[in-house]
This record gives sequence, C-alpha cells and structure tokens, in this order.
Amino acid sequence: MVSVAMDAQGPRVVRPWHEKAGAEFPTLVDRENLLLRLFGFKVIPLAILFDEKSRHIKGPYDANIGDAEFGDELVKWATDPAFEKSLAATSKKSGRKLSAKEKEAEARFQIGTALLDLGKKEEAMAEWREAAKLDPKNWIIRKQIWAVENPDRFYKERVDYDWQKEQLKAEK
Amino acid sequence: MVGETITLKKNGKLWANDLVGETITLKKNGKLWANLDVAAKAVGGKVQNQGGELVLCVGEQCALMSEEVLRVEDGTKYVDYFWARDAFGGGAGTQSVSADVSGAIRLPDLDCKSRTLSEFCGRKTVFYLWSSW
Repeated sequence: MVSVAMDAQGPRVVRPWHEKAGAEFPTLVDRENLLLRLFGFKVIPLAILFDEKSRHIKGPYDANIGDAEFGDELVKWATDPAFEKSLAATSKKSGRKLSAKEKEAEARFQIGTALLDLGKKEEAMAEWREAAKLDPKNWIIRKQIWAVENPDRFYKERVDYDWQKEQLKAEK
Repeated sequence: MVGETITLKKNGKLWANDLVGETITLKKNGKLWANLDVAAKAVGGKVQNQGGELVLCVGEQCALMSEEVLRVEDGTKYVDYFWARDAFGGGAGTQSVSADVSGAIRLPDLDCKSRTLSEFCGRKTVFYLWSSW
C-alpha cells in the first residue's frame, strides 16, 4: 500500500494525518496533480493497482479505505492467483487525454501552487479560481481553494463537512 | 489582466494586491504566458543569463529561451508555460495515457525524498489517493 495525498500545500498538512493513522506504509505527496494528468480523474478517494512489474492493472476506481468490499478485493488480489489473472484480463484501466481546457486548468493550478510557495496567496487563488472556471467539475482544484481560503474548516480538529455542503449549495 | 485579484473586501477592509500592476499570466496567440520567475518556480527551475542569453535550467539541464517562447510586456518577462514545463519532461500525462506509466510516476514522500513507482517493483502495489481536505 502506498498512500498518495493530492495536496498542493505539501507535507505540512499531510503529515498529521499520516501520523494520526499510525501508517506504516509510505505516503507520497502529489502537489501538482501529476496523477490527475496521467489518469484524468477529477475526484478522490480512488485506488490504482499495479502488478509486480509495476504495470497498471486497474483503476483509478472509487475506493474508500474503510469499505470492507475494497479491502476484501485487495486481499483476494494479493492471495488468489486465479482472481489476479481474471482481474488483469477484465478490469477497466481508466485514463484519457486531457482536453485543452483541462490542460490549461492544470497549468494554472501549477502556477498557483508556485505562487503559494512564494507567499502570494491571493495571486495563487486567482490562478486556481481561473483553473476551476476552466474545469468546473475538477473537485481536486475546487476543494483545495476552499482549504487554503478557509483553513479553520479543514485543519482545526476536524474537517467540517457540514460547511462543505453549504459551500456546495452556494456555488451551484 | 488574466487571473489576478487586485482588491479584496474582507473584514470591513479594502485589501490591495501588493502586485498591483503586475500580471502573472497572459493568454495571447493561443498560448498561456506566465511571469518568468513564477513559471521557473512552478517547474522547479532557475533562470540564468548565459552570455547574454536567457536560459531556463532544471537540475543540470538548461534550455535556451528563444523569442518564440519568451516575450516582454510592460517590462515584465513572460514565458510560454507549456514550453517551460514540457522542455524538461514536466508535462507527463498531458499528451496521452500509456499502459506503462511506471516511468512517469515520480513523487516526493513526506520527507521530500523523490520516490518512483518502480521502487515497489516485485510487489503488488496499491496507490490509494486521498487528501487532507
């Protein structure tokens, strides 16, 4: 298991979660949406499976770490050669080329992340907002705008999901 | 001005951008031009002057910025952002999706050490994608 945090704010915001979980697996940080560009997804959480030769076997697909069905499938994949073979033969490997608008959105997201590193938060948010306009269904961009602009709703004790629901209504 | 916030009203105050007059990105001739210093930061590179020519360097690799990819507007230098990113392979994933992505996946861990998918070669590997938000 390798956890990958899609977090432009970097290890500072990711490490507390990794430590709180007592995780013994590595956690990588995808600050610039590399995996999003490779696989073309717009929401998380997701899982991607790779075989022993690092070949892409399945996904990205919806996965929740607390979901027993997800865990059961992983155990079966790891221990049952027949299941492994059938999964490799039949599973859907998602991925697609990004559209021009999505590419520009990703570029603006990277530029915004650099501005954030330079301490220019408002300029960073302006680029991210432009990115969100170009790719409005990209929740990885939209929700990170919320997180940077409203850190108390995300990093103070717990994530405030009720507030997120209100935000969703307000932005519709 | 594309993608720039000049003023904000918050907490009953008017906050002015300390970069008033500075534009971060421009859309011109179908290209996305980014402020050169910001673009260099975004691709993890540095701008150097080599014998009067501006070059963008990422690690040991440097690329000359020709007139095609560099422009000056109101005294500010802008670079064609997609050129800046793709010149050093940073555009991974923007062209097509390949069945073999192992070479393209290189990400830092919590200690900022670069890790690759191929490090896990020999073991079945699950990437679980999540976030703090």
